[in-house]
Amino acid sequence: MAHDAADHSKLHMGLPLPNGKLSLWIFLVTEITFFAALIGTYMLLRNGQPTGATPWPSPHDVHLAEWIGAFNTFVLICSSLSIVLCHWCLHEARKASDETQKKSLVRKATLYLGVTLALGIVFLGVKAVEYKAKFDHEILPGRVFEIKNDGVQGYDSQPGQKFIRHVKGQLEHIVKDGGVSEKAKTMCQDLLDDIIAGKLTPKEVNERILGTKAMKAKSANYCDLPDKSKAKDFTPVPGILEEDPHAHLSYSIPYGNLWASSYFAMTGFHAIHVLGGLVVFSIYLIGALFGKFGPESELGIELTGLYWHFVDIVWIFLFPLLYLV
Amino acid sequence: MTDEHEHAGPSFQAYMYVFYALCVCTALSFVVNFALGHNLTSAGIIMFVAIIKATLVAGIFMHLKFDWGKLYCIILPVCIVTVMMVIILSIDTTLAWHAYPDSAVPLIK
Amino acid sequence: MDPHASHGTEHAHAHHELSFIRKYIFSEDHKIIGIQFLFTSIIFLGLGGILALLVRIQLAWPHAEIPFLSEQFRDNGGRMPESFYNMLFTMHASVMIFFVIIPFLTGAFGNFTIPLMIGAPDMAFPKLNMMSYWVLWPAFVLISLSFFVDGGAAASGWTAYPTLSAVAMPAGGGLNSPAAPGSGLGQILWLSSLLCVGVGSMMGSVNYITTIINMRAPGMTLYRMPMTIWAMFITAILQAFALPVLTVALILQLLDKTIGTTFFLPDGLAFGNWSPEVGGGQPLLWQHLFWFYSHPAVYIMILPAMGMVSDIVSTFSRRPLFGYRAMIYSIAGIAGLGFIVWGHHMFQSGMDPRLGTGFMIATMMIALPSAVKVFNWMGTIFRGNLQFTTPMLFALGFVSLFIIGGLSGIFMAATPVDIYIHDTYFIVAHIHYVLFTSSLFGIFAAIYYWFPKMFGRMMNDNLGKVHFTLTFIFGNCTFFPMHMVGVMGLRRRIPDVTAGVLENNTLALNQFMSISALILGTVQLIFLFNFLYSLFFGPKATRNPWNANTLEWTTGDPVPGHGNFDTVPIVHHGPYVYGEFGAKDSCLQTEKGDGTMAAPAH
Repeated sequence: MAHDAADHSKLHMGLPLPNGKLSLWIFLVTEITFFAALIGTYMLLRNGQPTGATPWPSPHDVHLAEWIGAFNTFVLICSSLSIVLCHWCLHEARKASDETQKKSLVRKATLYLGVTLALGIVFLGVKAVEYKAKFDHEILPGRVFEIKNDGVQGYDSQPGQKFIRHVKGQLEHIVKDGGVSEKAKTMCQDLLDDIIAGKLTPKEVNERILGTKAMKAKSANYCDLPDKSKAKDFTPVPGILEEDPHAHLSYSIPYGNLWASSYFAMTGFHAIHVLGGLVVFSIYLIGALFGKFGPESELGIELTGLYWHFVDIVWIFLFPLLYLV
Repeated sequence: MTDEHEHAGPSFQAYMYVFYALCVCTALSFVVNFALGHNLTSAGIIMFVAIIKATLVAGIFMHLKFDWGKLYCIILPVCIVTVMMVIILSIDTTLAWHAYPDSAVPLIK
Repeated sequence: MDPHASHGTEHAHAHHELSFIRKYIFSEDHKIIGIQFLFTSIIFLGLGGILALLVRIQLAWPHAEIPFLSEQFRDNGGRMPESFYNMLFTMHASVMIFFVIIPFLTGAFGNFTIPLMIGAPDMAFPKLNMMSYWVLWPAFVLISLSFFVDGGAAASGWTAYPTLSAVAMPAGGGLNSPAAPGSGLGQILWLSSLLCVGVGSMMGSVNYITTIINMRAPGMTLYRMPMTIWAMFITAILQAFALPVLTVALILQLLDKTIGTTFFLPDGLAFGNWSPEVGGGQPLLWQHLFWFYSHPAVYIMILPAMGMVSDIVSTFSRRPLFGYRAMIYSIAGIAGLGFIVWGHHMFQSGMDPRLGTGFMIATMMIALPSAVKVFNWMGTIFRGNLQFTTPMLFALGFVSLFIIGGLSGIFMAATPVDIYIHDTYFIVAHIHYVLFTSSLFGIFAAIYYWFPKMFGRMMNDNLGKVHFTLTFIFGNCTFFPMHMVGVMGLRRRIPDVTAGVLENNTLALNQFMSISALILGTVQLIFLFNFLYSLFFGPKATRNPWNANTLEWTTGDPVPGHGNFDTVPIVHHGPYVYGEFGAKDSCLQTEKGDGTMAAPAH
């Protein structure tokens, strides 16, 4: 009758998708939710407490270079292309009837896979360089000096004092070892003397480091200039960093800690996902060394590729949100 | 079970065209950021370009153009709920109902 | 030849004797994994119950010495300090939610029933299934360890609201958070433990969704699946897509506590003499992220029970489930709406009131599919040939007490009412009616029902009836007065009810509730005894002791072996075919309709 053996293929229940592909798509959708929560958090925090007077740090303030991010985007796009071409080669190899053609396609696929792995490593390497820039300038969660609340009623004065102490150490270092222009060195010496004399508030120290004009400039808007800036006969204070941008001096970055928290959380999780992808690529490449990589790996490579493209899409959104916008 | 994996997938050329398009889009966002700076217009353009890029990668590289019919039930509702979550979260903070709209920090005493 | 059958027999022939460890401990068989979840959940049920009893003892006798533990608190006169009380209710809720109800429903019964009821030999990814159980063990260790660390276990409520929970230890301050005892290392362990649970649940849900979509037996269309499977399917979707947001929230709070980020810590924060140096975060953000998961979580904790109760009620009424498709759409509706109502936990949080209106309307709407389900259960029972076995009694208890829990929910959905009853015992009453007298009753029903299929023996029905009767009586005695004291003004989470003017009047009722709770706890020992005794000495079960229709009762003798089915089952109709079939009144899904009964339309 209608239910004998020959009809069983018609009774196949479920989607015309392999289990692995279906489950990987479900996993990717959970990852969409994961990154959406992270990105949503970032958007909220960025537009939450920061105000016009104390805005979110600009990329220049936190030593973020947009072109490095753009380069990384390009690297990831290339790696997406190479993994999809790897899959295409394996697909063609499965369809090919000619043995030599099959072998050459599998060889090409292995090559593309290697390229993907290499590009992924380049991405992580560039990220490491970027992270190092942050470490060097102490732009880490909990370590960025923020004195925007100094002098506001009810706020602890400890952070401001800590800032002054830290700057004092840096100034002593510069005065002793040099490494900056002569004029900057003189300014450092003056600032050091004023700090030792105890004449300056943290905000004034900050202004002497950055310079009033730089603080009002478009790409380095800072906070809470002393009220004297509103007086008619006010002259802007020159900043040490205006004189010599290479001086190793810390300065206050309002919401810099929150920026660092968001930045490291978002790019850190993305990097972990990239690393996971690289581990899987390595496993396939090691398999290729032992001759276990061929047209039968097509489904596995397709699934790995899907994961990798997702990682790429996340970066496509992270890059503008963190670097450009 | 046999996996009938026949699909008229994109050709090699199609993949390359998408790649070129992605490179152009990335360059475009970078240039817009450079030229227009940090404001709402540039942000809008850049995010729109990002969505185009994501659609290209998802549609062509991830074969969603061909598999959409099988997968939309899972992908679409979740994307809608996710976007909605981000919007609702934004309402509560960015459009927040401030009692003291101009103070940067709340006063303790 | 049928490719599926050949695959099945191939599998059986290829099966070699596994070692004890591979067969029972690191097993990839979904039935064993389900039973593993069952055992660990029962152990944690005991732990959570003891924590609850300690809470109740403190509430009823706030100035007395605590039994057993008074020596620990000698410097407080043998009485429980507030910080310990905070720890008790935090850990009671966390353990019950994440280590009892969710593993029972999704881990134990999801794993056990899904492949059996859809006619599959196992889950789609058996190794992933095994990992989803074993990843819970680090979670068990972490949460148990948290009781013994300096500062004690997490104590900021299971909802872990910042800023109390999220403040980082000051540099040089050791592991004691300045915010409160129990919000330091204990909180970090709590966060890490929940991360493990989340990962395990996500792995499990991906597995369940794939299995249900792709591995059904021939003829098992989606609209022929039993309600249990529909419920497990939709629950798995809820789990998979809501959990990542909780994962993000937990990770962000973990970062706040360890490396000094300030995601949830705003400017201007101060704890006594100490204030964090930097801020800029949003405490409300945690609440949004947390409740975005935790609201679907409460549906995760009720939907599988609803599905299982539907099947149990139908089986023991000897009647088809009333309104099968309506039941499916209701479950889908509850789940879908469940994603957009999380703000109803935050009406008092200071969030934008306009958002509150939206959440209120959506929450009210959830009452509709829930009511549809209740009416359909009643429609199933009506004019049925009722068999009052223990599973049926618990299922009927579920239906009736869920009505109470649901009704109190409607009160809370209305923001103007919620403003008064938020954080009072009215909420606690609602929670416990839907979790204890609904979910847990559903779990008990399911244990009694599927015990023969899991272990090949029958539990003692008389002891079961005693268990049900006493649990029903004392459960209501414990939790119903909570509605009353809540409206009288008793707030949640306070250790001394005599401290407030309004709350002082509730002392007598609190004592009544605590005595009922102690008896309720003792009564569960009857269940434990019945369960353990029947495991070894219960009467051997037949293949289909309840004469039910679903696929799991067609296999095994009585416990299904590895691979579940000897040959691939062919499904001919839905699971709710009851009527005249010669000597029987039911028709297994693998049987065609008898000549005297026209083959059903679906």
